[in-house]
Amino acid sequence: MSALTAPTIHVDTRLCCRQDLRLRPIDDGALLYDPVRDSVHYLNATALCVWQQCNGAHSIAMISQKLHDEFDGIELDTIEADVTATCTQLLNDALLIHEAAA
Amino acid sequence: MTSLSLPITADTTGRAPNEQAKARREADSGWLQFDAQLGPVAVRLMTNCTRVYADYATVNHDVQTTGESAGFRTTVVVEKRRSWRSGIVHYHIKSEVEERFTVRKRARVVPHIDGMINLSVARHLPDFVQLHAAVLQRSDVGLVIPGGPGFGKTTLTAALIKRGWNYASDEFALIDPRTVELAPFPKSLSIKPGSVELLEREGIELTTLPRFHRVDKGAIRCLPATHIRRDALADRVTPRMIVFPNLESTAEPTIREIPRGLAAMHCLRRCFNFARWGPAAMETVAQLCEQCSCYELTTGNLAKTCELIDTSADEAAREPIGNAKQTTLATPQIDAARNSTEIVTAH
Repeated sequence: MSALTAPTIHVDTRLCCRQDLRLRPIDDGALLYDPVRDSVHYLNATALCVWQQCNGAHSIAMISQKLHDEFDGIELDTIEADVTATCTQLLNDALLIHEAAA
Repeated sequence: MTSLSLPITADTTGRAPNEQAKARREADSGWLQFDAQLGPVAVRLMTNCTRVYADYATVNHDVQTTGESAGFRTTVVVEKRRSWRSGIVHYHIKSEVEERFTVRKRARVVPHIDGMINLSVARHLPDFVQLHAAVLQRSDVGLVIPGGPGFGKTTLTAALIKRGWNYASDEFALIDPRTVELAPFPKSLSIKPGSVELLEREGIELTTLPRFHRVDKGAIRCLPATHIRRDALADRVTPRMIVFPNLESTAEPTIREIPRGLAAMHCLRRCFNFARWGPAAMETVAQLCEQCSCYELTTGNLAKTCELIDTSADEAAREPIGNAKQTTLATPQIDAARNSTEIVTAH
């Protein structure tokens, strides 16, 4: 899906990990195999953390708050913007889906 | 895969006249057969041209076999023909992967044979996850240098052989998924004109080597590893170090460690047969990277570049296998979007 057609997301959006992806942890993140697109994605540790939090129960605001609690010295607004950008890319790469589609 | 066979002796019974004539021509011209063993790949060249035979034998005599080998075999047939109308000689080349390719200059035959063998291995060799990479070994340290054309892989490989590294491959890292060891594929190195002076400065003699012509590289010299060092051939290699080269001829050479996940992605982008292996290729490459220290290398001055690799290999040798140095994560930043990367396979 191109960025032009990607659905917009906001802080209350709840996203889900696709259950058919194969996760292969590696020491600084993880590789994800997508059997539908026959592709591999690499997520660094932070991206992996965001992806794993997307279980349909957590909104972007909740995930951002959790990261804010864990990482000192970063403004919540900054984290929220970056988590939104990350989720947008993961959504574009079809590694996340909207809660309603899960 | 279909196997090729050409009649070496004339058998005239039950054949059409034109086939009989063809068979007689082949018998009269004397078909020659050259067998080589490139690691798990048995290569057979059949030709009716003594000069093509000699060209190929010159650069492959160190991997020549008696002809019988179990496992994967690829056969290339080169037939020299002279046009009865124009008198011009043509070389018809065919293999399992290409029905027939015709060249007029003999200098283009050997590179084309090599190209056909590479294509056959990439398409049909079972049992191995294949990366486009050079593979070398020194002591217990197996070194993998993934990279496409123009990354300085071959020049670096030749220089490292001169400095004592043993040679396994300049084209394929053949990874056995059961052991994550690398099988050798010791094809001769294709040295581009631009690298000749650099390598001669390193003490590698190239002037006596046969020159061939490749469409993409121009006049090349085929350099057998044993021409650099008599005992240069490696057997199976246990990988401990992966180096991704980036050629910047005017830059000061630098080497820096990179995360293994990123290294795995770089490797998967160089995987020839990902479409066949799918998630098993991902697992194999992840295991490969986990047992290696992974680096990005900016190559420049060849001698200094080799010194950097030697030093890094000394460090890798001190680490126990399977417990390679852990890459330290930087302070967590919310930079995930910039580091989520992707490989899409060619079907």
